[in-house]
Amino acid sequence: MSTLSILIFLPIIAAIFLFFVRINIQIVKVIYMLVTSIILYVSLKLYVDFDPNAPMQFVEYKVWIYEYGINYFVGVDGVSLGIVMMNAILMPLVAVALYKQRDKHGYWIHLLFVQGGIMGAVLSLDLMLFYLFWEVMLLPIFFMIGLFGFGRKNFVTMKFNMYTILGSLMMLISILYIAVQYKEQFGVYSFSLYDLKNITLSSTQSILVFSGFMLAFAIKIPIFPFHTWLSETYRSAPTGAVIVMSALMAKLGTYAIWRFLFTLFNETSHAVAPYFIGLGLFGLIFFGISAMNQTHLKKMFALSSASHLSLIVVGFFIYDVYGLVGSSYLMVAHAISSAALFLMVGMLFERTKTHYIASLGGIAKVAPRFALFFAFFALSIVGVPLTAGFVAEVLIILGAFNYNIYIGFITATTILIAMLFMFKMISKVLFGEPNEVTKNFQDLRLHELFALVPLALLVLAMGIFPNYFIKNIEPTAQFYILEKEVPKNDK
Amino acid sequence: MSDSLILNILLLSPLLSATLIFLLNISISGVKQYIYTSLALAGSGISALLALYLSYFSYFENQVFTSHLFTWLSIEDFIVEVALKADALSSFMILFIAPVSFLIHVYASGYMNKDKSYGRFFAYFNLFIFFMFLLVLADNPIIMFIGWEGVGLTSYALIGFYFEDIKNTYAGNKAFIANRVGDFGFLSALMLLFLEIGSGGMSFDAILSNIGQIEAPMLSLIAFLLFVGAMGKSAQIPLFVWLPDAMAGPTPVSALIHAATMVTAGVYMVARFAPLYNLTFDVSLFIAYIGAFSALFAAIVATRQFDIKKILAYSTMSQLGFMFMALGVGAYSTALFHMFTHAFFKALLFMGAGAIIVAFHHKQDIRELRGIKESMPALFVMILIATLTISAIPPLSAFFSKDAIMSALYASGHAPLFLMAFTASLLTVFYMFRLVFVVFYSNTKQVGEANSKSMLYPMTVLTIFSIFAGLLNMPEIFGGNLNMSNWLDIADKKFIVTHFDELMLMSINTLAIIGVIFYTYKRYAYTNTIDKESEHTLVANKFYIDEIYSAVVVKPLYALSILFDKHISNNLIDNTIHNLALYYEKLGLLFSGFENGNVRNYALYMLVGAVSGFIYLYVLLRAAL
Repeated sequence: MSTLSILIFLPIIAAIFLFFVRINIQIVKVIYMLVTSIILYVSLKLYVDFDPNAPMQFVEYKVWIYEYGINYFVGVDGVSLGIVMMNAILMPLVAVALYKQRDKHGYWIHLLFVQGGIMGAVLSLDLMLFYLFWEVMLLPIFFMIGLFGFGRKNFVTMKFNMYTILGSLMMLISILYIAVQYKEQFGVYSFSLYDLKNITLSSTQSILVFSGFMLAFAIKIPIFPFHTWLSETYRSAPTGAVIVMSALMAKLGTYAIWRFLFTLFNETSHAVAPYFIGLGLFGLIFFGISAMNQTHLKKMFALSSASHLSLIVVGFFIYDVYGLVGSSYLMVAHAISSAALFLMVGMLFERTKTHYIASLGGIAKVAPRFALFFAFFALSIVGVPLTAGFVAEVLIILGAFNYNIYIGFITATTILIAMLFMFKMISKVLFGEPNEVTKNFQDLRLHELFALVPLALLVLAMGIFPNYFIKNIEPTAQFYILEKEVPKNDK
Repeated sequence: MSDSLILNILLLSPLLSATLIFLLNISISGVKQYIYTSLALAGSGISALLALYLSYFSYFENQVFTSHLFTWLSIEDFIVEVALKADALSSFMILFIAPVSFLIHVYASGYMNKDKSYGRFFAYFNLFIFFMFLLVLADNPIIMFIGWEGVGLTSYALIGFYFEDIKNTYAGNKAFIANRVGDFGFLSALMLLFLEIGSGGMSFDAILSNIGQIEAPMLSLIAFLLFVGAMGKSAQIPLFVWLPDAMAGPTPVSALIHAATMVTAGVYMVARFAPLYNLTFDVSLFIAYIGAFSALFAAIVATRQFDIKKILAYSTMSQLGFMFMALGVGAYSTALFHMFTHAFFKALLFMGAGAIIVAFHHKQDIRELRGIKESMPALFVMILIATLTISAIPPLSAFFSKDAIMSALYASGHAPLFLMAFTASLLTVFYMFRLVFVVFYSNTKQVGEANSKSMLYPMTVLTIFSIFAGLLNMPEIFGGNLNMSNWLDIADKKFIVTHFDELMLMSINTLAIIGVIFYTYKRYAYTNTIDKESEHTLVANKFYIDEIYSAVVVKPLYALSILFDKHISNNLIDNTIHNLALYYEKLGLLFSGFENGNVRNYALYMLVGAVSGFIYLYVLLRAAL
């Protein structure tokens, strides 16, 4: 098996194996660590071997359902590389941080399964394959919330699932529709991304199909006004699931916009770009301001995530090299920071049994290390200099100014938005005098530090030496811009 | 040592010591205090020595030091190098930043003695001066912006240093947020600059030689947005609100932030972009008026404050206003000169205030600190000298710098500016001597604890600087030759003032100042006038600016948050979705009513079905026939 197939199928096979073999939970955890470590190793090797200047690499192509042109077709480029790396890095660290708390087989099996599903969705270049993995990665989350969640978990997970599936079905219809169109125009069926982009559609057809895809992605990201499942779902989800959702799955939605919509419907995407820039900017501000009044930590971070994801959408639809690189970078940067933050919220809950901001306080006094890391990751979301988010935001803002000066000013408010809620939250959670709930707060344990320190170092490295990382993304973006011959926007 | 190595060590030694202190502090408990002290002093001390070395060669041999560390970003034209450059202006900046920072470090080692967060304090402190060095040494504005934001970030940590009181952390939040509003302007300006002329390179030299290509309206916009950044950092109207609250931090922090670093960044930035501001007269004039209003506003508010640190805070804002007035009329090196002298006497004043606060167990209200002259005579002399300096009494340093500003304003022909500056300078004398007379001249007596030597020695050094720093830029009327202005070589506007006018100005000014001192003495020394002053007047409440901001900005934002979250997200969108689901369910109920398992009903459905089938057939057949 070659590299990408290992990344996709090793976790899935391991998960299925563990599902059927009922063994001691300790062994399940060992196998989980083993598998995710192998994935991490293979991904690192992929990163080292990755040639920044080649377009699509490590391509694998195997015929699957010949008559309908459905093939196993995967490959990696500069943008998907980031998500692959995040998926590979975060999964073992989640286990390092949480292995003591979670003693259910299902928890770990589902996480393994979702890792494979996400890898598959990121790497697919065949639309049917993509759809398959897109749905596969949803199921483990559905069960995780239902089985291990908090609050009204059954209602919430059902709502989340229905909502997402509604979008996915629209995407499926769109996929089938363009495949049929391809058959009519070229005589054979194909679901390959590179074949399908050659079809010609009338503008009405194109917009309809575009909307089908977009609905699926917009719900997943989420873009305003499809966000109402978000905060309740994040609130109810267990730590592992919420990390997967905020750090990886939401990013997949934005990634899919770039990978599929921009490739398939280049002109339509250009034509509707202003609306999505507007929607994204509105979301950026709307979610940021909504977060100010949240009393529940996870709901606040959910809205904070949504705010940043809207910014990523803006960066993509701006369609220039700065926006594309900035958004790709922000996907990775935000994945690390939000994963770390949700991980810490999980630790916080385990110690205090509360998620409510008002009942916390004074943690910095009793647990300085916890406070340090928590503040660090919160500030990295705000995008302070020397963190990865700062670089990404500067690039997106630059792209936005390049697009239009007014759009530029609105986009630049991103450096103000996250501040609105983050600083007050930090003050209330970490500072002041410890109260009844927090006075016995235990500082970070060794294994928790093991999980958080690499993430913190990565955030810093990406903020201080961005060029080293961006040189892997930039050629992909350049290549895309050249290929599409996007006209340079001269103000 | 090579030039680039000197610059690198100068920049990185505080970062290194901050990292070491930080790692020690976080990983080992119970580290001896002297280890932290020596690390912190080594970090800032090395920088200070190298800064002196650098400025020496810059001043006497016009040497320019450069260093290229690595490429930060390189995407198409957007190439940002992490490069350092110490030209005359940067060398001038570090000439006072580094030594004053070092002296404040020494002072802080006494002030923070036995504090349980001693290590954490010095980690932040060294990190702060690292960012400050990055700010002034960066060769391009993007790296400068990183230092700029970093200073804001570390000031957040330092202001909220005593986090057990959540109010202190709110003050830190306020500082960071107000600064970031300014940064919003700064960053936007940088983006526009890059898009206009960035392909020619983003170093300061490249930018300033290309600004001629930008059209006038865009140039004004850029100049204005840059100044918005300066408003935030240098605490000018309307972004000054963080400055008085920033007194929540330990006093060495106030001394560091408000004298030689942070607040000077805005002045430095405008001076750095002097060629740009010379092309945009409208924005320059705007800067001058913002400076004038800030100077006057802060001076008025300071006359009715009772907290010794708050008085000094408003004084800082007021003095910065003077600098911006000078910048606005194009007297850049004059503004920088005043910043130079201000760094010494303001650091001294804050240190003095800190020494009093420590000696009297954290009392800060001047009404409770009366009659302390006898118990701390050395401190009294030093504070008196600093007060005379800030009042611009000849021949102390600020006399030369403030007089230069006054004559530039006079010569620029903007009468309102000159009058506002004159009023503000007299108010300065009033509120500073109010402080001195209330605290030191009283019928009551108090005895405090003796201050440690590590606090008093740096103050002594600063006192000497406060007296003699004016020699650097002696005007020609006193036989000087404006050494500093020549060294900096900034595109100053030249103002011609006759010697007669200049002497007249000086004499009138000095006489007025002495008059005000006399009046203040009569009013406050050995009297209880101070106790009769109300805390509830408009002025004492800072014209209710905080309340206005809260009502106009903060409250509406929270109302908007409720509107967005509760009303739009929950009630409007989410309920619509739930209702859709509900209708779907009702539709299901409708059909499940039919399928009730009752055989008689099913027979009825069959009958209805069969009959309608027959009718349909009949109709079809009739049509066929």
